[in-house]
Amino acid sequence: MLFGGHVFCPFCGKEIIDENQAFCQHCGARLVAEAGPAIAAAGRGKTPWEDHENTGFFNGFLKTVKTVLITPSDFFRNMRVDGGLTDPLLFAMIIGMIGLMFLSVWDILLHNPLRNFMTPEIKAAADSGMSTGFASPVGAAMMPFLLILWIFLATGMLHLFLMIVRGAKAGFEATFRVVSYSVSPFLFMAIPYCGMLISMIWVLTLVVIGLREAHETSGGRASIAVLFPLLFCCGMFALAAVVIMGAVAASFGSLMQMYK
Amino acid sequence: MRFFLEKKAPNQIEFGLIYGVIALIILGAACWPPILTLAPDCVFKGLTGMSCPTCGSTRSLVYLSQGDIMPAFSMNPLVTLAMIAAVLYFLTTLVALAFDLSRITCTLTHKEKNIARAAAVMLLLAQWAYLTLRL
Repeated sequence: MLFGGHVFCPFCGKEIIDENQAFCQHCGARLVAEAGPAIAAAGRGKTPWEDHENTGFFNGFLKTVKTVLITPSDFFRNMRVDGGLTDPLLFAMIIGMIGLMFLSVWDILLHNPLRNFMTPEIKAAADSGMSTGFASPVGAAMMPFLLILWIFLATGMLHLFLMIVRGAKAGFEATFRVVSYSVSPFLFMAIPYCGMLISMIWVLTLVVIGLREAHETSGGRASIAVLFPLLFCCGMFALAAVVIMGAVAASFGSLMQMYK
Repeated sequence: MRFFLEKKAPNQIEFGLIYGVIALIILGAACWPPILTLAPDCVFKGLTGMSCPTCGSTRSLVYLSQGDIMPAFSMNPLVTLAMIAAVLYFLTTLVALAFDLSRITCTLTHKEKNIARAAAVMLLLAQWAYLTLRL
């Protein structure tokens, strides 16, 4: 409250030193509302998937997948950063399960033929990869739950690193929605051999674009937030990519030897 | 840094419940004896010979699930602290929800936020150094 150039705390009535200070120095009461997410909801709307009442379930689903894959910047720029976790999570579950089912099928049918071309060291490293055990019934039954866990853990870690690099201008929900919609390339797991590699690289690219647009931050900050945990926590994805690329190169080399 | 009590806002996400349940599920899974044989070896360590910052996480979770906090802490300090924090957060959220209580909230100034960011990076690096020297 302002009286004759002096500012007083509305709770204890004592004078406040600075009218912009967040808390009263006498009683500790909060004087200004805490700054909420800095990203305005204006100009952002429901995704076609969330607007399924108008677009229809399948139409909305396909339209969302198409937009995320082809024009991700536009999609995430226009995606609202609030509105609940349920719809994006359901979308991620559907896409994720379709992709992982394909992965299981290729695992069963092809018996992971790349292993034949791996050196023992690379084979040991590949055995630690994500695809191990997908074909087992227990693994398949656990997949939906693991997918939910993965989405929440990935979101938590990404948001934490985004906060560290001062890129989290919207809330946790924005990060969650970006991660959920960014699993769209899991559909590429339908491609045998290289489907997983393609989808993983595409997912990472989409997450970077999504964080940049949803949090209205720079691409550099978004990239650091995405790549820092990957490099820091095991370098697992980078090494998996190296292992798979090495195995593919080795398989081509072996084929060339066979036809010589 | 200011701590104060605040009522739950409508549509506020219950992080305590979400991450608390995840932590409890993980700890429950860690109670399962064959978990150590199923857990993959660290690719980073396998190829470079150096520990990664998350090395020892599975072992720390197994110790933690048995209530052995100090051995868990020695295996991976940050994972142990994160799990304990998640479980405590879960319990406080549960109590606040059950009795419709205000929650303890904390606000940081810009300077304090920067200090927290630097501290987070330093902690990660310190943990990596500790694990590299120890394992």
